[in-house]
Amino acid sequence: MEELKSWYREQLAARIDALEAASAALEGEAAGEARATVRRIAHSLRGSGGTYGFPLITEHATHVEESGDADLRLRLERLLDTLRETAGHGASAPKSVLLIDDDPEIAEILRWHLAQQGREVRVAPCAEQAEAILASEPVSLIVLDLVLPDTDGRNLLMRLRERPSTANIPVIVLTVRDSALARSECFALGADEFFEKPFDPEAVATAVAAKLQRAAEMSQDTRHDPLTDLPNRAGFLEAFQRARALAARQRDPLSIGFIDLDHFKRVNDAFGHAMGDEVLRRAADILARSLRQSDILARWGGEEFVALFPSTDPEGGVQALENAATRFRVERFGADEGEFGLTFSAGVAPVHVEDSLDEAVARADYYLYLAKSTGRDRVVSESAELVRPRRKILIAEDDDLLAELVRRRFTREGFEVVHVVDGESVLEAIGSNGVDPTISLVILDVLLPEMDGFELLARIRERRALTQVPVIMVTVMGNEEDVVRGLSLGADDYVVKPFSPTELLARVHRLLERG
Amino acid sequence: MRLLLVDDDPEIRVLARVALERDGRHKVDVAASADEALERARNGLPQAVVLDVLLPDVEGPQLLERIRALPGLEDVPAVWLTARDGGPGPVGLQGARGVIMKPFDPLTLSARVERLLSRGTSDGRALRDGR
Repeated sequence: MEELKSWYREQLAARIDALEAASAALEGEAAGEARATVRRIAHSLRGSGGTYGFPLITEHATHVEESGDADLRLRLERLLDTLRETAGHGASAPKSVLLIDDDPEIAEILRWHLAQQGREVRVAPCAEQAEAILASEPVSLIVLDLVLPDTDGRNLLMRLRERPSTANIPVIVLTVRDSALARSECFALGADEFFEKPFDPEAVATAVAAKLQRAAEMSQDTRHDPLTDLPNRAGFLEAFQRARALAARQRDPLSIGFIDLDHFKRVNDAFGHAMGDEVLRRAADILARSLRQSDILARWGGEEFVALFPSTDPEGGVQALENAATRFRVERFGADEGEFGLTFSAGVAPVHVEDSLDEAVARADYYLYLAKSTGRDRVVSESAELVRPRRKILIAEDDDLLAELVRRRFTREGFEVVHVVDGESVLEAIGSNGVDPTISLVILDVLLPEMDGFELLARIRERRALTQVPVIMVTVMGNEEDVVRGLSLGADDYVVKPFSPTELLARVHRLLERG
Repeated sequence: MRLLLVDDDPEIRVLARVALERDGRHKVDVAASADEALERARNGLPQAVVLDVLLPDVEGPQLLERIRALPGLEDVPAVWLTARDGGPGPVGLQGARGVIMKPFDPLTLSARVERLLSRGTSDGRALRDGR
């Protein structure tokens, strides 16, 4: 049951996203539709929350489902709070506010005001104890009295700012010194706010809340890749969502390109990582200059880039990347350490309205795979794909008789069935250096010799081009832990032994039609 | 027993299926929509059906009627799953043998379904059929 609960917690992320999107739309033109979406999701959460052992979800979901339009937003916020808390980042302890002040009365009154905001407060009467707390606990903000028994508060502030682990913690300074010098000095040393005693504790509490809010916003500014100065994956996701919505509204085509530098590892191996970084920067620059203003380029990770082509069909995307490829072919990298040329391979695919980013990328990645496997330094899209392979199913099952039954039944249905008996052979079958993109579904016995099905499942899901391939687990009766573990690792369905090949066939058809 | 479980909520499908299969007495097929339910019912000939009252494309009672129109399933017993207070509406059980409210306790779901299935329908038809 615990595994099921944590699986359910993971599933909540998608519900939270959907509810947040609907919440944002509550003010817009499609408010009626948004309200219906909110109520529909609430209805579903009402049923599932308590079932999974989260009665608060059921309670708040019920309030949302039954609320009038006027109360909907407020009640939705409460439901979202509950969901976020449940989905929570699990073990991460709440960070506390550290109060460094030797006056117990001030400490007490501030602690009370901050507790009203639901904050955890730790008090240190001297610098030494403050350092001890900072070394052992996560601290979100520091309130610092400049007059401390063991040191000048300004020394402590300076030390905090010099140390990377504390350099970014907001600091609010309290002081009785009525001098302009101390004030400007403290700001120069990196204080974020300054209060003179006697101060209004509520004003301090408000400043704490404001600083923490700002710090939380700053920490979310993680959409940028500092090396290439391009958006990173998170930044691209936002651009993707906007572009997809726009394309849907204007009924415009939208294409996505997935780009991988050829033999980049050799650069790193031969010239070191500093040169590798330099090459990535140059490559990003050339790509960015080759694309149009309206195109969006981002670093996906490693030597992979992803590009979005608004109002452009895949042929247009191919054209844009061909231009970039032409530039690459004349560029020289490396200079002093020895010159070398660099090429890239890319795949371009259309983006459909209902595509998630992962789905769109997986499609483009498939054409990238074709580009790589047909010689590199080329851009491939759907139009280049001439033959559509037969639907191929991989079954990993050490029971030969069962596998044979399945093979016969599926072959009759026009599938090509590849049967392997252990984990190593599965990895071989899905391709050791690339992947076999012709596999349309995997059937995996969780009990395999040597490498178990779960480990395999995890490995399959690691391979990007295979993340969308449906996986059906085969397990034995009564092993619900297997089911949950498999589902959390990304399996799509399961069958319980003994099963009939017809039953399995029905599940296979359903999964394949879904895609 | 071969059961068909129809619910559009994936989390409920997973948990209910695990809950019903855990003791090994039942084999559960699942469907998320009316079309899927009809197809699974036609091919799998379930011995009982557990249905969500509120599906996106069809009302549960209407779907049950269509399932029972399939050859061999004329008298298939059914149990409602619902998150609504007061069951599937004024008509009562609408030919099913019972109602299980969501949220439900997964540990007792199997026993509750069995208990409901073993009794007659509200109008006593199943009791008569049993004799």
